[in-house]
Amino acid sequence: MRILLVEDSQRLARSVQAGLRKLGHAVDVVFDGTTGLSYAKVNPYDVVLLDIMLPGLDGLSVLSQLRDFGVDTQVLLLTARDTVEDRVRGLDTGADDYLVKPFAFEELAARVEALGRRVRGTPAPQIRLGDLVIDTAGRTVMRGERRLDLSRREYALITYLASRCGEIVSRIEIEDHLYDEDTLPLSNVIASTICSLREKLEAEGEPRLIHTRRGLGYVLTEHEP
Amino acid sequence: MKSIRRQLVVTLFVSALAVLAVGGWILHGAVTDSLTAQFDVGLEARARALGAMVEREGIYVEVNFHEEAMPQFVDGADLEYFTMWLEGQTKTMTSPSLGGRSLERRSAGLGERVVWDAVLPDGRPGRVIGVDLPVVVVEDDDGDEPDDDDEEAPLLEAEVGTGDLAVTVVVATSRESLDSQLAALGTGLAFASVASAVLLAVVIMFAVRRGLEPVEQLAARVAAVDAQSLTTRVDGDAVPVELKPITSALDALFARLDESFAKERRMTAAMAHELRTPIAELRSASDVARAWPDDDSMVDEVIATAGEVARRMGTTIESLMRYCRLEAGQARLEVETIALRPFVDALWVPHSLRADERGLVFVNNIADDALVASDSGLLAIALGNLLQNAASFASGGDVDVRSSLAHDGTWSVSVANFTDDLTSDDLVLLSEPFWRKDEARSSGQHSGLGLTLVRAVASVLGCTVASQIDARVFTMSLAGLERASSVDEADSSSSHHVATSSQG
Repeated sequence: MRILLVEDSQRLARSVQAGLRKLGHAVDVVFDGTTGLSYAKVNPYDVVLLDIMLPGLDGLSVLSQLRDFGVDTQVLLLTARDTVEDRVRGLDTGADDYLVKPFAFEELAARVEALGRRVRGTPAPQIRLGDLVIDTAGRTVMRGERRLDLSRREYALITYLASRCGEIVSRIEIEDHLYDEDTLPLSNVIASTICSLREKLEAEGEPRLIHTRRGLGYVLTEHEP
Repeated sequence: MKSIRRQLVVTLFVSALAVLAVGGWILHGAVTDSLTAQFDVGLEARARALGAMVEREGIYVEVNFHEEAMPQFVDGADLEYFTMWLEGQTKTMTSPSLGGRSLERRSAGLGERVVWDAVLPDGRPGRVIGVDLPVVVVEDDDGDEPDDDDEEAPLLEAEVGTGDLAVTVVVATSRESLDSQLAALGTGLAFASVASAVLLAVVIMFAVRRGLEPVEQLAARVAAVDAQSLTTRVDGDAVPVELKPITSALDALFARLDESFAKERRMTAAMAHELRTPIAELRSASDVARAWPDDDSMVDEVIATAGEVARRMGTTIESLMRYCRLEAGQARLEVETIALRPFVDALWVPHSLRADERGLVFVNNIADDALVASDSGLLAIALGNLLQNAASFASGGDVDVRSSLAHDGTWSVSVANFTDDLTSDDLVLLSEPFWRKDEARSSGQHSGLGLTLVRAVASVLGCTVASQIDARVFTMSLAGLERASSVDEADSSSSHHVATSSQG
């Protein structure tokens, strides 16, 4: 998933970004509300992690303006304010979740995954396509009885393709969702990752699942189009 | 428990009963007097009628009593009695009802009457009147004895002199009718009093309840106010004028509470951010490093974060502890003479680098002879925080530190700098614990306790802190520093205690 983290504490932002990247997400970080608002408006983020007390524009104003602008990205509020009134105000403004600081990184990651499932429209943590099973909670991918050893990038790609199963996904869309602004992919890196992923998916001669549509992109389906 | 309603009801009821009793007593007395007077008038009329029976013709007097005209003096149920005494005569004239006896003679002079109660010869309670009347003179045609025209024998026939003649008439009658009237009056008044008392009680209770309704309504409105509705105001045009002082005081109380709660909320939110953010930084970094222990950069991040968090939290806690000690009155003053100019120069040193980076110019305009007797450690905290604030938040230009000698002989020190974001509304918030103009509290260099400490220190030193904004110039002053005169001690003390300065 591609995630925007709007957090003015640079130390907190650094560790969260690092952790989420380790989990295979693309994470952009900004440190003030105004920049966060402009980033969230122009980039197709799956999840926005938004601090409330921000310089420039506070988190609730960012959220309100995002919703007014028609951006329906999943938003998780991160804040030190823990009163019921604060939570209610945040959720009423349009937040999808609320996490009070300090938090366990595992909990943050789990909530981000849950929000990601909402984006995909699959409430269960498992995505199935024929004999392919992606467990987003355990971050494992099985092909039949075989467990695939995927890199973070490969896992992110298969998960993204699976979330849009049967749809043609362009290279640009893949770049937008798998790479943050700090990681500009080379032109062939997507194709290279697709190739590597196919090798692992078809290592024992299983039917192809990732198909190429020349000039259009890629589609994950168990049936040959 | 004391009850205004009960007190009002009891007081009003007792007062009304007292008024009712006095009124009833007066009414009873007046009606009794009136009935008695009326009764006496009738009795007097009968006495005068009897007196008129005494006729004088020349030197002769004759008293003719006609039984059929006044049968009550003869017999019957309502038997009455009279006795008449003719002036100069020993023989009395009595009514047949007396049977030869005589009534007690009382008189008050000619034309006057005297009335008294007595027991009648038949044993009944009676009313007796005695009156002296002039004898009626009739025309004496022939100077002979009066004609004996009447069939009944006259009560008296006598020869008297030629002078004025008076007759004393005493008439007695039963007063049973008067007494029964008075008894009826008493009974009626008693019933009326009881009925009035009951009615009064009901009216008073109703009136008091009605009168106290606004109090109950006010109580209900006040009871409905909670921490979330302290903006409610109970004063208004509908409030009775008697309750205005209470409602005004309550509204003022609500306003103070609201402000106090708002202050509490601001402080809690700020404190939560101030304490939770570094913990969140530390926990997040450690969680991530623990999840990927092979990544050295993660471990380095944890170590760096831990050091920074420890420093920040240490500063915050140190400031908090210092503030608590000051508030608890645990600071021990060691007063000495301090030369303010070199003292402030030394205090500026820790902030000069930051000020230089921000393009600020430090101008020490403190007078050379500004010597104060104070605790240098506490004074360093107060002035050090003012200087640190100026170095951190001035928008540019000079940081101008001045001294001035007040009329009362005390010194004040002011620190002035330009500001772009502070407003006059912020001035009342400056000393709140954890308050920072930057609501995001992004900078880890400050915790928002500096000016809180300044005010607490000023209180301990017996000084005052003032702040003002005028044409973008923000000035904070510490006033009321006791003037000192010893220069030697000042020189030796100024540098030593700067090291004790602690900024919030």
